Amino acid sequence: MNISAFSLLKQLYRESYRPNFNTFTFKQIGGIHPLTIFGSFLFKLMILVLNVQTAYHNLLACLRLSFVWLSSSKLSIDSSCANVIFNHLIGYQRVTIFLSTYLRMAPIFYTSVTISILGIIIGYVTLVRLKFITKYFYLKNAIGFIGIIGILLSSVIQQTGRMTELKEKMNDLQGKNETERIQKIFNGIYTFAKSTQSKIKGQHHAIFLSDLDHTKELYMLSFAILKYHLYPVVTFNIHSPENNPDHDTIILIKKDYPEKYLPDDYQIIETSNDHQMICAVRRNKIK
Amino acid sequence: MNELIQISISLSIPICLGYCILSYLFRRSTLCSLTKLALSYGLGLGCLSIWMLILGILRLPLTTYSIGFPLLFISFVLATLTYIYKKNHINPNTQLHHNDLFPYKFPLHVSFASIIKIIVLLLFLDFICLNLFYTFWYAFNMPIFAYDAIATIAYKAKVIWTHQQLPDLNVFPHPSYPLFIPFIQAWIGFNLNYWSDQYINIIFPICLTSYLMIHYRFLSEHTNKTWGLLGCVILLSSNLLTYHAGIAYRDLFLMYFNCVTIVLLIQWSNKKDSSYLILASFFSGFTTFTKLEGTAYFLIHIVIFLFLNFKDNVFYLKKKWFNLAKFIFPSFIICFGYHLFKIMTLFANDTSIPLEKMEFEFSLEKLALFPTIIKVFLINLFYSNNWNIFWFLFLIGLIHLTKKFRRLEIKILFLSLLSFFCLYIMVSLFTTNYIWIAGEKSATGLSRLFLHFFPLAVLLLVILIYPELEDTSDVF
Repeated sequence: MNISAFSLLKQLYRESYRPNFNTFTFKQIGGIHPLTIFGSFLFKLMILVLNVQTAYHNLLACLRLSFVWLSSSKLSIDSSCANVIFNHLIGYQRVTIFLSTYLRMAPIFYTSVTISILGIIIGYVTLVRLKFITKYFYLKNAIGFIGIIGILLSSVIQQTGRMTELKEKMNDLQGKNETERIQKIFNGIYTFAKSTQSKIKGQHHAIFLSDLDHTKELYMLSFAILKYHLYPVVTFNIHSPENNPDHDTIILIKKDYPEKYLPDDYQIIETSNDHQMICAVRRNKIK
Repeated sequence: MNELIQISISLSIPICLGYCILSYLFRRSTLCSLTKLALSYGLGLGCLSIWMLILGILRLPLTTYSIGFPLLFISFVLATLTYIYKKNHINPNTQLHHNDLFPYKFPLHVSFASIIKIIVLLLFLDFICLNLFYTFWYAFNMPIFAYDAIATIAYKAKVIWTHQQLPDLNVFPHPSYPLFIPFIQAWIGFNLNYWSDQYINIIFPICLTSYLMIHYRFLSEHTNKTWGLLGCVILLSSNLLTYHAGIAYRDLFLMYFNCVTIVLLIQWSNKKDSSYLILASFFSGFTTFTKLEGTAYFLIHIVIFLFLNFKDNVFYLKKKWFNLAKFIFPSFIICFGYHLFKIMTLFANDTSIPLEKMEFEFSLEKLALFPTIIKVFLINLFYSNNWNIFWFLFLIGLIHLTKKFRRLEIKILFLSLLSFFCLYIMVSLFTTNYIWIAGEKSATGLSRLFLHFFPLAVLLLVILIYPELEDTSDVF
């Protein structure tokens, strides 16, 4: 059966959106019984599935059009459009969600625009030109309805990504207690903080020295994690970590020639495995 | 197991307080049990945090007993007063309906249409449950890991929990930030008797669930139950929202208080019941105590209230002034009280610490940034992975706007959205916050700002695209 996807869709429309059929509540008002329409719909759907090659080619044509559109917009792209779309929808990556990867997202945008324009044209032809607009089924409603189907489909695909991620996290954290879980997230820096905490007693005031750029995330995150997990044993001057007139502890992170910053009356009590983190305490404060 | 009981106790005290306040406020009218339960959570936590602030200002110790017992006592007094009132004024209309908690009635006759509808509803419910499970699992199993949570929010909570008192604000990072979330997390810590990086997250998915209930009830009142569920599905389809339900940021609660305030104002205008107005006022006040942006939102709430109060002639002039007092008084006390305390404390100790994050910067040259700001907004809304394809759908939905604009809820929701967008355009144009909104740091900041009013856009969209057919009656 050689039938194009478009004509098939047209037929499906003709069957599903009969004038006397309330599409939105799926409630029979009169005329054809819904079961008849449902049977017909299933039959047509079966033909559509069998004729998947045509549908596939049409989809590829749409994506190709988006790709051409994309190339003209002077944005770089490192993989095929379809692949990027697939990765975007399936590969739900929790940590980078709100750090929008704009360039990677561009194909989605252009494809959405292409599909929307095609959708509007097809909708206009089928609903207006072929006079499918009825008392109950307005063009505006039809567009909204198509939009809802779109967002629902997208959400379902996205949900599979969320569930995959959840399953991975469950496997990762299974059988671990809270400390082990924190350790898994923060790795060495948390181990260093806890190990330091166990080796000193009482309350200490510390300064935080590092060669890392103060305005960059790595510095801020390192300081935040240490500050949080060392509290209340070691406290910092929150507003200026490098200055604390009453300090008796020095924490060095990624500092070249650390010995230069450690006065003689200080003793190193903890060093991380990679020697990037050092904690030194004034000798008379070590108990 | 022991922890679960302690967490349940720590949450049930504020919920109980919220429920008693609501029962007292709505003693003359009815409020659906589902909505009441959902609102109790926000109201109870808000009151709890304000009570902790009062204890902190008075330099009294913050313990489970000093916080919990007065709240339980107030709950008991309010419950007694409500009981006495209801006993003396039995109103048949206030009887609880059995379908309040489970609002669906299954059809007596099974037809093809009803089967399709049940399948659709089950799919929607399945989607909602899966997402809620996802957020609850995250909250219960993932220790806090996001930057702001560790650097500021949970750190403050840990300091309060350790001191068992409110310390000087200048020992906190960002001392001017409101203390709603740190107080609540410290309260959970007090109940647990130890500091848990995991269990303090539990308030966030419950907040999302609570908001979903209110979202659903509002939509099902203005459309129908199926479309109400659809609205919840669309809301949860946003990646950013579900993400924020598990990372212990303040934005989720700000979104909750902000959107609930506007929803309550619409309900007040529709039902002319001043209980909604007082409740909206409390929620607006809590908005200001959650994040600094809340103070700006408070001004928008006042504008919306003034519009609703003075737009028609339903109320007499004297009544309008009474309404004004009812709305302004509670919210202003919460907002002004905290800001006054903050100014006095920070000025008394160290004037070098900036009171607010925002500084005004007026110049005509900055007007040239307007196209850039719009471009950044559009990129965030349409390019980013945060909102699914919602904003495309929203644009489609706007074609119904002219036809339906006469409806009050659509008018208010649209004007609120416009106000929020305008607010951030103005803030980025005329303050030093340009960098966070449209500058180099907008990737992390702007989405969170949009999140604060994103549910309003979902409400507007669902009401807009809901087809007003001749026969819109529900099968259920």
